[in-house]
Amino acid sequence: MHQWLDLLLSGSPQALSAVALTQDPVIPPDFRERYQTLIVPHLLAFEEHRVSALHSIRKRLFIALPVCGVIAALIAYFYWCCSGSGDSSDVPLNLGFAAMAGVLFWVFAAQRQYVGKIKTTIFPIIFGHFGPQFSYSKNGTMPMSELKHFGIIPDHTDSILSDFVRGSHREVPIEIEQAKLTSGSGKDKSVVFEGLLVRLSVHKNFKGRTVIRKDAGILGNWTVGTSGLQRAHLEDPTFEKLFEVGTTDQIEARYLLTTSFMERLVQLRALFGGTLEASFSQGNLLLAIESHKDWFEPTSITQPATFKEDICTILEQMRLLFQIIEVLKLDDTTRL
Amino acid sequence: MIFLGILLAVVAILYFWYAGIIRKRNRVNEALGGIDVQLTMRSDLIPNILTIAKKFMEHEKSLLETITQLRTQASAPYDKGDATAIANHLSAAEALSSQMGQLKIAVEAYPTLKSDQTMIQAMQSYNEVEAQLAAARRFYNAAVTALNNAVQIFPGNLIAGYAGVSAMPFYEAAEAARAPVNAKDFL
Repeated sequence: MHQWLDLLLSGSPQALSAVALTQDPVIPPDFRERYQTLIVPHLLAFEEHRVSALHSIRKRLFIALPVCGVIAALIAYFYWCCSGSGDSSDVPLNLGFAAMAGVLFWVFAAQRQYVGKIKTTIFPIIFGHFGPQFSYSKNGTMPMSELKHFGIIPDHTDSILSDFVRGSHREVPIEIEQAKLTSGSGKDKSVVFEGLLVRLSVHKNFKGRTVIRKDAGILGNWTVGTSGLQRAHLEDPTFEKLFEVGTTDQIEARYLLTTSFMERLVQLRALFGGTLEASFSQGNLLLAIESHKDWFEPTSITQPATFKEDICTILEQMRLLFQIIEVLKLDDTTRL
Repeated sequence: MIFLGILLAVVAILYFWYAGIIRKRNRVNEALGGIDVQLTMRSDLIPNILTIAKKFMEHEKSLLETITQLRTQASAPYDKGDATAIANHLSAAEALSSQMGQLKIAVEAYPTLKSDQTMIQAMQSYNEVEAQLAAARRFYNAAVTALNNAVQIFPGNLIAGYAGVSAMPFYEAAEAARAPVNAKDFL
């Protein structure tokens, strides 16, 4: 919020020169060559775009603030008039908020356009660092219907899918997508899942489905047995405390969830620090990692367009996601 | 009326207890079936491995003969209702596993055999079946633990005695597999 206040109070934003943009960019050494050859040629154009977007936001903020003030005053006046009559409908309040949201949407249109351009031009270059087979799309392209067979996608009425990454690490194909799934509408709308969906290829051959859900207590776990799956009680007490396993094939579940793999799943859960669920189905492993952070978002429009923070953040986030393959040893052909 | 109610409740509890024990016994039989499927697959792979090995391993004849004998023993039919017969069957299967482990170590001393493509493929298939067998064994042991707890703890022992259900043997690792590994043997 304070950044927009700064923008209003400070003078008109100025674009940095090409020299200033490339001066002292703290880029990871293994990314420097890519940065110089593929990103630097775009910097000036992006900086100009950024500054023109800031100008537009500033101009619109000067118009929007009084408009929002008038809307708020009108709402207050309406309720002040009605306070004597006892008629206090929510409609004016909702209309007022909708109008303010519309105004803010208009104010930040230029920012959305700038962020969209970064995601379509700069992000694919950054993801290309992980190998030519890596691709990035700002829109989610892994539909939920395709993941339904895994049995860990909660029932939902609406989904917002974004930031789809596809590639392979240590010869293990990996697909990542950010998802927000909601259920219900209006006041009853609730978020049923928010986080990352990671689909990985598994070396092992299996035909059935094995679902690893978070432990939900005695009654909650009982529902696993009623969803067409048999409950599998495994040997690792730490794993059993954290997860509940349901499977269509008891032997296959143990073939997939070896004692060492169970330990690795416990480690992985600690690594992400939140709820983690997994499912093996049709030759793939799907991980649903609950997380409220926005994973692949460019840095603030108020920062110069050097993209150094974006690069560092993406490299760090992908390193964390690659740890899924490393921790679970999905590249290990000994199949243990 | 109260007496009748109590009687009905006791009969219902006994019935569900009995049904639970029978369900657990059936789960053990299912798990045993899973082990037998994998043992049959493994048994089918062994002649192929032995045929390839015989071409190269002149000095390991006794080991190959032992494996052949154990394979015959492990493939022999047995009474699935008899705990002793099951224990013997599982023990023969484990002895065969142990000897196959010895064979794998012996193969290391024959570089030509070790790099033979057919042997590599056969061993990969064998390892895959061994991994499936290990999973089947874990399922069987989990099912046996549940059954044995049910038939050995009062009043389950009385109901199990009446139903003719007894405790079942675990599928345990062979003595050779439990022995500490001496690094000198491999250096």
